[in-house]
Amino acid sequence: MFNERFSKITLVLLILFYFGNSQLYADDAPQKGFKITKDTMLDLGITLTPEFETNTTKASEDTVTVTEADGVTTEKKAEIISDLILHYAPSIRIKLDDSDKTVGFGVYFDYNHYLGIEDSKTSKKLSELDLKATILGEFNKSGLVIFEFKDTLSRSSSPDGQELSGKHRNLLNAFETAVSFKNPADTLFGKVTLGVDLNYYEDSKDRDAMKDYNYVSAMANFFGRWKFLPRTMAFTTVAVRYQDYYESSIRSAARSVPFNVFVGLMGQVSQHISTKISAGYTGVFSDAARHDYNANFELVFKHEKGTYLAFGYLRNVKPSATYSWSGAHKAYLNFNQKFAKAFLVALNFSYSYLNYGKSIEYSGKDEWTVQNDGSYTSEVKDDTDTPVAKYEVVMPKGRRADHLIQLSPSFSYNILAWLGLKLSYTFEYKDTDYFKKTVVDYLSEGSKVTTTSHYDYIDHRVLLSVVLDY
Amino acid sequence: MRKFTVLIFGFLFVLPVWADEGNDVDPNSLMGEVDGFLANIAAAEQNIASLSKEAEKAKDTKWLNCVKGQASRVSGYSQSATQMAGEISGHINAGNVREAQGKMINLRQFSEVADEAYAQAQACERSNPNAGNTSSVSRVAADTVNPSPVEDGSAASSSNEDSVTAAMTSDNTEGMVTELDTSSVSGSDMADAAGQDGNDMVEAPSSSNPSDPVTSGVGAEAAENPEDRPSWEPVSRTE
Repeated sequence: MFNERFSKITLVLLILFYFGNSQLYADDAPQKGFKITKDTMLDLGITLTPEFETNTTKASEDTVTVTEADGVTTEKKAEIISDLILHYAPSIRIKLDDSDKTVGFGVYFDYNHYLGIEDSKTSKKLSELDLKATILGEFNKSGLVIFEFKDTLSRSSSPDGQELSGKHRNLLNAFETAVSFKNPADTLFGKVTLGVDLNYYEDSKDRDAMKDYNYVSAMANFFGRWKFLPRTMAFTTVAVRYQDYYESSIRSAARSVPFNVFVGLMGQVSQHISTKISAGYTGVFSDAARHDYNANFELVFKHEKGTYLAFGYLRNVKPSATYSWSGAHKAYLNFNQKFAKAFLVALNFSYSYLNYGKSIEYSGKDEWTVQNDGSYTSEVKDDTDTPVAKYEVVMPKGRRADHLIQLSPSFSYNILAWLGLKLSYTFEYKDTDYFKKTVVDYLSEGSKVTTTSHYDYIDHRVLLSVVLDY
Repeated sequence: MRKFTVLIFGFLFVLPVWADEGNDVDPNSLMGEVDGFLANIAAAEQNIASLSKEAEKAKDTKWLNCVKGQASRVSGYSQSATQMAGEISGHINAGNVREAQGKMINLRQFSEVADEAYAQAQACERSNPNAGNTSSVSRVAADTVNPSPVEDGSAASSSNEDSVTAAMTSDNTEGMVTELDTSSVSGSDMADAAGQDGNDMVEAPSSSNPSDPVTSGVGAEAAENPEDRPSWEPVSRTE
């Protein structure tokens, strides 16, 4: 009985494999997509992914809440909650593409259904619909002056802290328009981009603290390159952004103007090796100015069309809502190997050293007072001006610095040109000495709650994706 | 013993001289190679020019645009090649054979690119496929993720083979449905800069961070994530 069933399954798999490969790699292999007009194609896709995650809220084992009430002290550690998440991700893309113009629209949904296998509340609190919609246009592509625009709206969700209390829902709209120009031989190319980003947390409607993260950001960017040899170019970028956290309680301290300028070389240096090297200056100007450098070095090894190996180093600095700026030193390695035309193994690894500016979370807030030991205190009074609660926040005196390790191997199999399977695993580990201790002394009730949040965590994820895209 | 020592040192002294002689290259043969490459580039330029005339005669704008794109490309490389040939000649006359050999590698690349451009020009798609040349490149597939500038027949695009993007990025994933970025519709990579023309000015963009819609979801595009903010908020506790 078992052997019979096994034989049937094997036969079906062999047939799928045979037809899959014969269709994929035949000279007259069918193209994907539905042809709407002569130059317009429509693609439809759906990805179904069961995912098992061991630490859904990225909680630290050391985070603890101590409650003292009525002479009794209770201690509660943060829970590490694992769960099985089902992703249902349909997508649609339509694109008109001819020699003069490209106009495209795509929308992608991802419903994350938490099954709540360890804690049934997970399902209700974290399940959410994410989406991403993009519209773009490129005009006069065959000319020497090219016009482009692109708008991307994304909605994403993430747990709102280490406790299983809810989720953040973030809306981000990024619009940009660009003019590019080049010489007839296409050796010289320049591009001027202007754009506006708008970021909004849906939960900021009900939670004032989340308003600190809403921002509007205008940017201007110039990119130029000179291809002085085949597959090789020199390039430069000059860019500036004005980022205003328009609803923030620390608006004047958080508002920042990052400025970046860098030059670099990129291209093939031998038959199998390519490289990129760039470096420049980054300044982040807010209440205080941060002068730093940016750099990127990458070495790429390619062999035939089967092996790809890249490793490199990246240094960058970004604006931050609560630290003025944050920077990363990142070392990374990406490898993929294709074999038997339908299989791909990949390995991505990165180590990042993340450093932050001085915390500005309580800067300029009248209700908070800085104490001599560096802690912040605040009192809440009732109508008769009698203190009912006292708050204290303690953070380490030094600047925050984190270590982040990410590792992700995967295995993919293309059964048909439009059907594939992917098994992947991701490991994420953050190590940091940074903590935040918050003490609430409920004077009127005679109770006290002390929460010490730590931010180191380990998270494992295993995903099996069935991808259909036609 | 003394004789033996002198012999050994003498041998060591002349060894590099012999070795150098062994690597010596005849300047005349180098110049012959230079002329060969230049002739090859000129031939490709001429062939594309005649294709261009053919396209003009046929009044096929699509075909003409595509061929002209390749003509511009070869013209640019031809100028650089002529300049490089002058430099090589200068190095040979100055006796710097090694420098000349180094430049020869680049000249060879120019010559190869010229051949590729001619091949691309021959394969340019026509509005009326029955006219003239029967070879044609298929329309771009519905693969909106990895568009190939060569295949879309765009005169503005350069050959994928000699593009910077092709040199820097992985092409192993082409055709792998599991590696598609279905969360986004993509443009034509007009800059051919492996994404370096991206407008995220605060980060020097890195090609090492391919978007993976399955593992990262659209959350990868989100702005700063306040995951480190504790859900516990002192002020809201009293509200």
